[in-house]
Amino acid sequence: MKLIRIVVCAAIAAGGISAPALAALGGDASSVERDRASLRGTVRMTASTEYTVHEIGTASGLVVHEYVSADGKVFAVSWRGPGIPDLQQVLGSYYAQFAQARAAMAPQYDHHHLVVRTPELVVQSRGRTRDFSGRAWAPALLPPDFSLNDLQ
Amino acid sequence: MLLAACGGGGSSSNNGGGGGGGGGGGNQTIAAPGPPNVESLVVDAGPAGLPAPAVNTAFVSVEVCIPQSATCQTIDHVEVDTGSIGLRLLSSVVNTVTLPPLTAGGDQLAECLQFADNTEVYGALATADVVMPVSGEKASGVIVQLIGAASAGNPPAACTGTANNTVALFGANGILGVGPFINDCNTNGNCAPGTQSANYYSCATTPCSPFTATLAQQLQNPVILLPKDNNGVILELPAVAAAGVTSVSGSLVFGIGTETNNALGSAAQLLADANSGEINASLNGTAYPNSYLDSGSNANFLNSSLPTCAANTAGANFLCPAATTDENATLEGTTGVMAAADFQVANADTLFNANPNATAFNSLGAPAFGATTLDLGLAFFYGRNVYTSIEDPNLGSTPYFAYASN
Repeated sequence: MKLIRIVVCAAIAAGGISAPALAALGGDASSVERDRASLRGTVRMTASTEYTVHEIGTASGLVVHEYVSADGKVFAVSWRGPGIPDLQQVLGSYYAQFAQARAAMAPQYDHHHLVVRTPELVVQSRGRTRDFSGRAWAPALLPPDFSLNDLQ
Repeated sequence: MLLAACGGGGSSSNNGGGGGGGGGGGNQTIAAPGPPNVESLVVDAGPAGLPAPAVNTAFVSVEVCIPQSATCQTIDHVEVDTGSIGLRLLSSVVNTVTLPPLTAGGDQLAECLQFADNTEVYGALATADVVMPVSGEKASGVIVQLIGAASAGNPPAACTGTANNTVALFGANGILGVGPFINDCNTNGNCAPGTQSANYYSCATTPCSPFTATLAQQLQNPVILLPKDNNGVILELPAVAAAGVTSVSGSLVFGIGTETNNALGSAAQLLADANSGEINASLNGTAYPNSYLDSGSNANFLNSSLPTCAANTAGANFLCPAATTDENATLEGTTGVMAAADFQVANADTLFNANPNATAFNSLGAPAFGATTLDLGLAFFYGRNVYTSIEDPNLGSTPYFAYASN
């Protein structure tokens, strides 16, 4: 197990699913700290030698994980809860290429899953009523030995 | 990489029953459509005019009526989805009956429902009596979403995602959400904006404004509004050939243990988490605590080392193993009850290319979109009677899944 410490950073009651200001994919560690100050949720950090996980929860039940590499970049995000976070917020500067790739896709009739791949980004999303999860990562930013099975 | 050399693997492999893991229920039969509680169910290419055929999607016809009247319209090709809640119809196909709007304080109410595929359905709410045309089951005073109805204006800014506001985009004339919950937002009270995938709006002006919907104003599972046979549904589809079939007919049975034709029998009751509707699963030695069965998923979604089909192939985003593989999962309810869930994964490129007119495939697999979920979709339903019960807060009971070979 790589996780070596857990720090509870803040515990302030809750907003809606789109309320938390998140450190977005590709953002740096200072953006995490800046966003934490305005966060209306609970933040918990776990750290290993390779990366730190910031866990952000809201009263609605949505939990977002941000994975920050040792060099201070958010290389992945994941979410779980009764709805979907604002992807523009969690994907940050990667949102434009996500939106472009999504718009270029043919209609799909399984509305419970989505995968979008670009050369710089992978987004996976799944869900049913009250039960959503997803993850997004920038392959070029992944730490060398990172397993996608650790992205939960 | 297109694994064309494996062409025989998917189409010539053995039975169509998905490996015969019946879930401890022994053999059951498929109930014949008709009164009092059995609706005709079909898996086919979907409504006319789709740019691509639907795959592994189960449809019924639904009749909507002006409440307490004989003024009705029957809508075909409504998707049966055990992963959502409520009846939603494309407003463009509800064109011979004008359903009365659902209002609050005189203002039209509307809803935005966001799906996991980054799409949304947005539209005005109306009230209808819903009649299932084959069984005659009737739910009165059902709140129905009319997707794309002009009376709700354009989607508000918070309703993000690609709009599913035409039949061609949505892939069906509507969706009948008969999942494990009573309503689409929450069980215990008001639906405040921004907390769920379902968000309500009030339309004094457009764009409509966020609105806190009471339980009585939220979309409900239409099954719960039936006078009887209202505690769940059973999807009953026959086994299909491994190569896929053009269409297949089965039954949508209302009620569990309420008639002589819907007994649970010896099928294991896999109780689900009260909040998420999830159960546990294990596959190849790994636990998947966020698992479920879902008719709205068109494949079996599993965490696997099997290769994904190449982009720009027929099977893109599905799995493309070199040879058809057997998967032997175990499902486990929250009380520890277990059931074997055996299925196969074939090469999706081979399946689609060898049988381009087929719409029902029992061995379609896809990579799980997360490391903790096994999602058994409609591919798993062939050759089985699959039960989805509805929560009952009055009894303190959580929903459950069950299944048996048919």
